[in-house]
Amino acid sequence: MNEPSAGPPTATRPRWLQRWHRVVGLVAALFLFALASSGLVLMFSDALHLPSRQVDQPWLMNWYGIHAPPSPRGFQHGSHWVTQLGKRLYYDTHEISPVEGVLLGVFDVGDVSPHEWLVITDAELLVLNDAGKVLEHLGRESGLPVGMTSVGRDAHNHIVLASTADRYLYQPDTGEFAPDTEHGAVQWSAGTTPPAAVTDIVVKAYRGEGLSLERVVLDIHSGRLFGRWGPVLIICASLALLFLAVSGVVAAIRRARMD
Amino acid sequence: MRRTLYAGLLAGVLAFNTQAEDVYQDPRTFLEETFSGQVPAPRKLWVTAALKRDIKAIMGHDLGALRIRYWSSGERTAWLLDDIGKEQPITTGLIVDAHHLADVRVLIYRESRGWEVKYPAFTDQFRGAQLNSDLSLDRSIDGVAGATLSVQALTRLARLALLLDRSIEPG
Repeated sequence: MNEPSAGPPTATRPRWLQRWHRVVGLVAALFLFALASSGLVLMFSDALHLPSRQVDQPWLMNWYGIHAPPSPRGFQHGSHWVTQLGKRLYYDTHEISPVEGVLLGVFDVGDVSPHEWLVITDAELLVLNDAGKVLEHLGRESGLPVGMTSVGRDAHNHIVLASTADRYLYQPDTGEFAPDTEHGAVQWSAGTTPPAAVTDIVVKAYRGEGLSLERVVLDIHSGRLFGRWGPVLIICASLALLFLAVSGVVAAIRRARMD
Repeated sequence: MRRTLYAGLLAGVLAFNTQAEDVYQDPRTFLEETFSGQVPAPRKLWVTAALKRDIKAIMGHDLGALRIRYWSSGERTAWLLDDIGKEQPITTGLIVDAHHLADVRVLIYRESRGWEVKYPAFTDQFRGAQLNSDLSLDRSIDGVAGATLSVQALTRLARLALLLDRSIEPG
């Protein structure tokens, strides 16, 4: 009844290899999909304008640790707002320049240069034109007093800079700083939180400029999007793919021999 | 005793890692020395499109401003310029006499290492240097071991000062 089979006995077939090939294949499929699709997208990165497209999804920005400073500080200049967020300075919603220090005040220069105005922080003084372009950076090298705490205007309309130790007058015709010998009354400049219409856009710009879509796709491709274990997972997936290739070839050879 | 030694070592390491600002010479004093106590009123050099292109060729970036302040008397001009060595700006005073570098001085140094570039043994190499038409110096500047980035920053500033001096309208 039971005649011996002509082929090799079933027990000698590497069933463990097939089983592992199936399991590893299923697990690796997920990674393979992510790797292949992200790699494909990266191939056409420039055509898809990925480097210039900014990501602004709040959860993704938070995942990358890109947070806007909690309280934007602003000063009104005519109908415009000058806002500082971290080390960036915005004129309404456009970024003016990187800036050092804490924003202390914004002033018109006056009759000497009617088309120029000043942004003063505790570390530098920026001279800007009507278009919001930076004409000059004045810092410590230009004699800007160290350790300024507040700025304002005195009764003679001079711009007064006060440090913990002394007071100075800004001289707009020369761009130099002279000791304030009068020590008269000063209307000190006080910052406030700009209106939501400004801060919403500025905060979005601040966070959005820090992350391109290409960066996100690159991090998906390398696994870095998933934290420090992400690259390890991708390495495991790569090893799994190698295993699949080898086990697939071995299984195919064995099957060919059996046939 | 051992604790005191460890605390001392720790304090030393922390002090070494702290990036302090070393002021070797106040910029105002530099200007007073340059012009023998009679510091002229500062002038402003506007950055034209051509000048901006040359600045970028030297510095690798633009200066982020449309005009640059300088002081001049006769054929002598003085410039207070910054460039980053590794992480922090190095404030440098440069004197140009008749389109030749007369002096280069490190005024404020903020990097944690590389401060050896302040010594005249290094800065004297720039004396008499001129700018070639390709915006390079007419001489090679020997480096300082352990201060490569600061040396490169000062060399860039030397070229920049000569370029700016060359760009001033006569009179």
